[in-house]
Amino acid sequence: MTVEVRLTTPGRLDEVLGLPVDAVSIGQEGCAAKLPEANTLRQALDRIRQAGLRAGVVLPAAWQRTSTRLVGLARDLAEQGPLTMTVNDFGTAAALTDTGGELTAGLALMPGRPHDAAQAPRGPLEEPVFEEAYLHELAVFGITALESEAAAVVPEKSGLSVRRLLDVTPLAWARSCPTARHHQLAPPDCASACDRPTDMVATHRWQLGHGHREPIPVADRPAQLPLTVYGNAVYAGTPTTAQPTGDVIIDARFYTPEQLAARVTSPRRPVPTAFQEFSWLTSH
Amino acid sequence: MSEQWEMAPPHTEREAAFVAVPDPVAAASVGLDAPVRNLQMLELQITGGATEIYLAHRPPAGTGASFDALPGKRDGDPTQVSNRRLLKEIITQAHAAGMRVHLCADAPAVTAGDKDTFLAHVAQGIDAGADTVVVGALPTARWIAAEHPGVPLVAGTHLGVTTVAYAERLHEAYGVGRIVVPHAATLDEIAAFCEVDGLEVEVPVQTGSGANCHACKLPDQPGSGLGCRAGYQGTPVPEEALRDLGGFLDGASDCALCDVPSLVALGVTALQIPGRESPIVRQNAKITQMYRRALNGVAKGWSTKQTIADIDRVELMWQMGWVPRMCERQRCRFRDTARRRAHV
Repeated sequence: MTVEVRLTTPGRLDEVLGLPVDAVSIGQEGCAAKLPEANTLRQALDRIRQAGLRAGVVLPAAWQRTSTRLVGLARDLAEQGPLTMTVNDFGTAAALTDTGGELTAGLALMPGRPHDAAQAPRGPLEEPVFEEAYLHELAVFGITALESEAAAVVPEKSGLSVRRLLDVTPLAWARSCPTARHHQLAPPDCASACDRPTDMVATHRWQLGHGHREPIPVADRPAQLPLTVYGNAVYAGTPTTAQPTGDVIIDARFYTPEQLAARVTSPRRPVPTAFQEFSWLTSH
Repeated sequence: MSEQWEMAPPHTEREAAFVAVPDPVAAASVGLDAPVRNLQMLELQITGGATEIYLAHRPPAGTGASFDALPGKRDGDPTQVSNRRLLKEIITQAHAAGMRVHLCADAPAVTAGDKDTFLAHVAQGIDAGADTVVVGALPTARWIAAEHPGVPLVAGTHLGVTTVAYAERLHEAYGVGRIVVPHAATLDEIAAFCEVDGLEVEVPVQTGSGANCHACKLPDQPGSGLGCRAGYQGTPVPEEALRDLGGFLDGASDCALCDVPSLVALGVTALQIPGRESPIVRQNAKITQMYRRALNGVAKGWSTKQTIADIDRVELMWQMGWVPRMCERQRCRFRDTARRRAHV
């Protein structure tokens, strides 16, 4: 088992390097504007390597405008030393196949889910299923590891590492960033606006043909999932109750320093203790 | 002069370089790809000026999952052609009207257990005469390419083709001949896709939440439906009052009407009208007609202002529906609006 802590920026790197972790990665899946400058990243990754830890960079899902910069950045960083490159779109994966660094499929590349053949609603937390056929496609792109939410179903496949994100589940990303819109800012000026999350819950629905939002029926209100929005990404708090058996990722944004210090050791401890300490996530 | 034309904000600095006046002749080669699920919709879309249609048919009874990008019904309205005989009838009549037919088999995922049923389902559509198959996942693209090597593939929006590198990979390795770009793609990005040799580019118009639909787990939720369209309330924290966040996740940039000339000039193959699930099929076909008017305006050598003025003169829907819902709310697909300024 390895424990990896994910940081959006190196802002908490000192804190994390003092913890008993195996790997530190920097970045997130959704926004190129939030990714630190190249020099900042280089220095941070060097410090992670010097601490004897696996260093990783998480490349946000690229749009054509940002693709060249992200690929260039990843290639540059890979030349500095061993690097795990987490990609969140297939174009970036295709462009980085030959770099020699470990290529990991990020959380935004978790497989999609089919819709219902009739019209039954789909719960946002239904676990994703990595079919063998999808794993084959990842391998074709040179991907040798993948990240998934904790409950994802992933068949055993030789040569493929699986890293599971604890306690939270990513649900959606947007190109038009809701946080930037909310603060009436635009990238890159919005880069610090998403350091604080927006916690919310759906109260209204929009139906085709009605043309306006209307209150969610009373009977359906308890089913609405509390959501946490960081920047352009939407998450749900899903405390991991099962004892992880493989590699795990812990996203530092969802923990105070005290909680993070406790959480990085908990995967190696018995379940009841670990879970009780993090039940606060259910109300996040 | 139409007041609505003056409402359109300027283009962003990056996109302004890709705003162009096309050769009028080029407008004739740009297709209008419209949704159809029954013969009434087909007739309306033909009248509206569509040149291509896309459709999906219902999976066999007992199949739990939809084999395309929508559930069988959304908000009570069907999204699929109900049976094989009707599918063949629609395709036959569409061909008789000179239209190209795209069969949607663009489910975001198909399980191994459903593979054979899925491929039989696709084969039914091809046997019924579909010209292309729209795919939504890499494995299904590979399966269909192997099973039907002569049938052109279209990469649907669920494949999330956000970069040229991905488009090229799909073209070379999977035999994809056309991509449908995500609805949040920008003019400069569409221009880059149009530069890829041998690749057709289809651009969704009149739709878009600003979200990455290809990586979303918030559609069809119990009670709240589409997460991007839902209304939200801030979860209370001790020192703050409840906050109404409205459509917090909704960054809709829908209308591309003013930028049809630029899309023609960039060399796009087709414009896609949304609405397989549309509850009001006449209104859906009216949207097609609006874009037909815009393409016809280009073909006549008119300026956009002239085209809008012409629409303003003859279309009641323009003043009644389009202007208040699109222009006045600046839901412009390719203009410098607050929603688009927030694009990452």
